[in-house]
This record gives sequence, structure tokens and C-alpha cells, in this order.
Amino acid sequence: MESRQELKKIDDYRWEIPKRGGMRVPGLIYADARLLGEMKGDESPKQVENVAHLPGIVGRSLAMPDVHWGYGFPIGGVAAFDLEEGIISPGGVGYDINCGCRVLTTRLRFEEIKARLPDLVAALFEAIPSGVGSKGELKLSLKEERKVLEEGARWAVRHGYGTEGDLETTEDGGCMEGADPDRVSDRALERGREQLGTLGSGNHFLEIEVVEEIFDEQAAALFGLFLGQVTVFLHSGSRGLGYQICDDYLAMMVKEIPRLGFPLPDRQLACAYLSSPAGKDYLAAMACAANYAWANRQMLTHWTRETFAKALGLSPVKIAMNLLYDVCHNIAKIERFPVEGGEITLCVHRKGATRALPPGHPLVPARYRPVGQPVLIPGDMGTGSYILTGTEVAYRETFGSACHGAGRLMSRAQATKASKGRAIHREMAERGVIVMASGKGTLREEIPEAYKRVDHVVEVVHRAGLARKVARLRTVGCIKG
Amino acid sequence: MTKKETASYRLFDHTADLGVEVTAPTLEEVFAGAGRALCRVLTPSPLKEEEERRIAVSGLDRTDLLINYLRELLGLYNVGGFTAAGIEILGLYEHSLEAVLRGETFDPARHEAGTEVKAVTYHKAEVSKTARGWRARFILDI
Repeated sequence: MESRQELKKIDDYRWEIPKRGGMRVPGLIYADARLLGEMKGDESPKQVENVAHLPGIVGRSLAMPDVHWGYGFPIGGVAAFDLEEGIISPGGVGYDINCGCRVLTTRLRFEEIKARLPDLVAALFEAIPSGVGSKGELKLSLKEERKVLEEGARWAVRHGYGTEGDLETTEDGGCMEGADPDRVSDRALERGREQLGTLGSGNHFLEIEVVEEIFDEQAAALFGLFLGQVTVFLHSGSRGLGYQICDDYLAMMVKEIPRLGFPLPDRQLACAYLSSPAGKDYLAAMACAANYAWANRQMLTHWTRETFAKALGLSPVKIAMNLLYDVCHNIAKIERFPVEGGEITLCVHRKGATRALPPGHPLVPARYRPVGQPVLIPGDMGTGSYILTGTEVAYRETFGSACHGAGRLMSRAQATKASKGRAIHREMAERGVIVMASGKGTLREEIPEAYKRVDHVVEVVHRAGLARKVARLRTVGCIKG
Repeated sequence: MTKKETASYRLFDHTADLGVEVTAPTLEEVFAGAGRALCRVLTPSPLKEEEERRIAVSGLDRTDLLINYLRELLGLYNVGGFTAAGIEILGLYEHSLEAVLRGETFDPARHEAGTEVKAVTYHKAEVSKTARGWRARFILDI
């Protein structure tokens, strides 16, 4: 592939795409030789290069180790733009705005609940609406929906779905400023009304995971993690509301491409200047979707707590299900980072990338500040997940960002083919994982080998210094849409 | 009744997603076929032609027009559940089209939910002339 030949090795985990043609900055891919090999036939390096063409881009166009081919921007892409000269791109955020993860800790040891795990998974499957087009229990009035869009997780907590403490350990306190529901289309609002409090389908999930290995005792203690502990890992986003907002603004910005004044290598990169009315409108609408996603994950959290108590016959106090952290991995954020000796305010696009702020950063919850922001990295359903912490290296090099998952290796069709004739439920049970899915084909599409090895991706992130490993979690129960 | 179907389509692979390629002797048939292919992805169940919707869409060029037209079909499904079984292109120009959709409202009791489609993307989308007619390609984010 053309752009591969252009890669310049900086060290074992950093590969530069030197500036050429219309690139305004160089590109940088964080990967080892093996992950680079897995990008074969994938156009993600070309996409990293395309993003480097956009006006006002600062530093480098970045790709995290789980990078793969996306639309316009690669998935696993990070790019920061100057507020005056730079742009914002709906495609740089992704369709599922504020798709993200949260981890809930408990006081339970796996040994205590092991015998009742099948009942617990079944009860969660029953309690958490999931699957294609799933609808929530409550149909919001338009007036109430607008409040959700303005307040995010705060709205959920105000309505009894969780506690104030949950907001402290949610990125941005679960509410992004500047959300304006008037910038959201009727179609998006209509889709959002029915889907609040639903998990979704595809790769979204709720898993019961057990702490299997601890790499950093100090951070684990601060995060409330211990060996053999039962945790819950949740991955969900802004549902149809977010997809619609992304697509509405993409359609609008594509019409404006001829007036942007610079050539775009790909329509999917359609964007608007951050200082323009269109850019500001998108940011205000995007914040609505971000808030919706936080309210959504907060409600799912509440039902998870209720279900654990009911299914296990234990009091919520005994279970003590606390929110360790909630991070978005499809978002554009206005944040301050060091650039060339100074510190400037930028619009950081993280599309399939997780914020990873270092120890001492004011946006890290006070109790975690000695170790840095928790970074939550899910793997495939048969493996488990990692919890890491953000670092100074990420702060200086990647606008405080790390990877967001393992990254897909096989297409859904390839995975379906590879799983033909196999009993995935049974295979998973043999690995010690109880799975339940709403969609007939979901388990086939989500087989473990369809993904890159999360252990390897995380190892590269750790060795590159973007985030430090704290704990590894093993999946024992999984609910998919 | 909707005109006889002459377009054929196949699904192709894209890492995280689903590609669709449609071929037909005429451009109108390619557009009609692309719409039907999208609707089949949304629900594989047979549909009755009991409701009628008329749509008008515009675009910067043929490819943009195709994406906007598919967006409209996806939008009708996502809000209100309307899915088309038959599509008749009434007029197709460089920058606009008009079509009549005949189908019904998705009913979970009778229809199987297919794949959740987040969006129709511009990624590698194209409408092109071939030796035998026309071809359209597009990728759905699922």
C-alpha cells in the first residue's frame, strides 16, 4: 500500500507519516510491527493522512493502536484543531456520539455469586432493554427530552437513577456544556424519545467481569479494585438520536463543501470552521447527544444495581455498586493542552479513542488525581477488559488520549462465516462465559477472533506510555443487543 | 403496481460494516434497486404494498443524490417504521429525483427486525456507468 511505504519508524511503537502533498501536519500511528501488519488491506493510514489535510490541525494527525478503517476519519483517530482557524467534523466524532464505557465496582467476590451467575445474567437480560430498535420503558415528552439533552446524567440522577457520587466519576460530570436542543432536528428528537434507557445492538454490551490481575496496587486501591472482585462493564451510546444528529450535520456540511475554500479528499470528512455558525450549531447539537448518552448509561446503571440486589437477594449496601468511571470514546471536546511550550485551548476529536488525562490534572476526579484518569478498554466478549490510567506522555503527545478497544479484525460477514456450524453459546460457556443476545446473528458477528487481541493492543498502549495498566478483568457474563 | 424489478444487488464486506452493490440496465432501476436493498437489510420479512409515500430528494451530484435518497428511506423507517417493498422512480435528474414508495409500517409481531443501520455513508460511494448499464455502490454503517 502506498502510504505504508511512507511510514518512518520513530521507535518500536511510533510510526510517522511524513508530511507530503496537501498535508498540513505529519501523521503518527501508535503500533508495533504486528499491529501494522494487521492494518494490511486497510486504508486507515491513508485516512490518517487525509485528516492531516484539514485546516487548523495542530501537532499531528494521530492513530491509536486499535486503529481501523472508518468513514473519513479512521476509528482510533485523534486530531486537535485550533479554535480560530480549525474545523469541527461530525465524521471525526462518529455516528454514535458519546459512545462510551463505564465500569461499576462491587464488594462482591466472584466465589460468592458464582453459583447464581446464570440467574443473574438472565435477570439482567430481562431488565436491560437491548437489541435492534429496542425501545425504553418510558416514552419521554418532548419537554422532558429537551431537559435530558441539556442536563445529561444529572437529569437521570435527579429522577432517581443513581446518586450524586456517580456524577463525580463521570467524564465532564455527565453533562457537556453548551447543549442546545434547538439545534437538534425533529427527526433526531423523535428517535431519541423512545430509546432512552436502552443498550442498543451490535457491539454494545453489558458484562459481568471479574478482576483477574492487578498491575498497579496503588491505582487499584484508589479505584476500589481487588482480586476476585465482581465488576460490571457497560458499553453503550446515544442510540438513534446520536446517529441522526451526526447524519443531519454531515448532510448539511456536505452541501457547503464547495464554499469551504479548500479541497476535501473525502466527502465523509465534511466539516465546518469552529468559528462559523454551522460549526457552533453542530457542537451544540453534539453536546445534546453526549448528554443523552450519559443519561442513558446512568439509567442502565440504575437498573443494573436494582437487578443485582433482586437477583442475588442482597441489599444494595452490601453490594455497594459504585461507578469507578465513565468515559466517552466518540466525541469532540474543547480542552487545554500543551503545544510548543505554551498551553492552548483546542477542539480535540476522539473517534474511537478514550481521554487519558495524567496524574494531577484538574479534570481528573480529586480522589483519582494521584494516579490519573481511569481509562476503560473493553476487549471481545470471550476475553475481558482492562483498566488503565492516563499519563504525562499522552498529555504531551496525544492530547490526553489512548485507545478505546481491541479494534475489529474481521468484517461481520467474515465472522458470521467463520462461526458457521459452531455453537457459540456453548463455546463461550466452555470458556466460562454465559452470554445472552437479542439479535440472532449478534453472537456470530461478535466471536472473539473477530477482534484484535485486547491484551496485545493494551500492551502496545502501555509500552508506548500512553496509559498504564492497572487491572485486567475477565468476562463471566455478557449481554448483547 | 410497482414496475417489474430488474435490478440485482449483492452485499459486500467492509471491516466493521456492510457494503451494497446494485447493477441494472438503467439508472432509474439502479436507484430503485438500491432502495429495496436497503429496506431488505432493515427487515428481511416480506412486505405488503399497502401504504404509499411520495418523496423528493436533491443532491450535489448523482452519488450525493443516491446517499440523500437512501437517507430519506432510512429516515422513514427510523421514525414511523415505514419500509418499502416496491419503489418507482418517477423522475431522475442530475441533482434531484422523485419517487413513489409502496410498503407498510414495520410491525414487530409480523416482521423480523434486520440489521440496525446507523447511517448510509459517503465512504467509497459511487454511481457509475458500466458496459451493460449502471452500477451503484455504498456502505452502510451498522
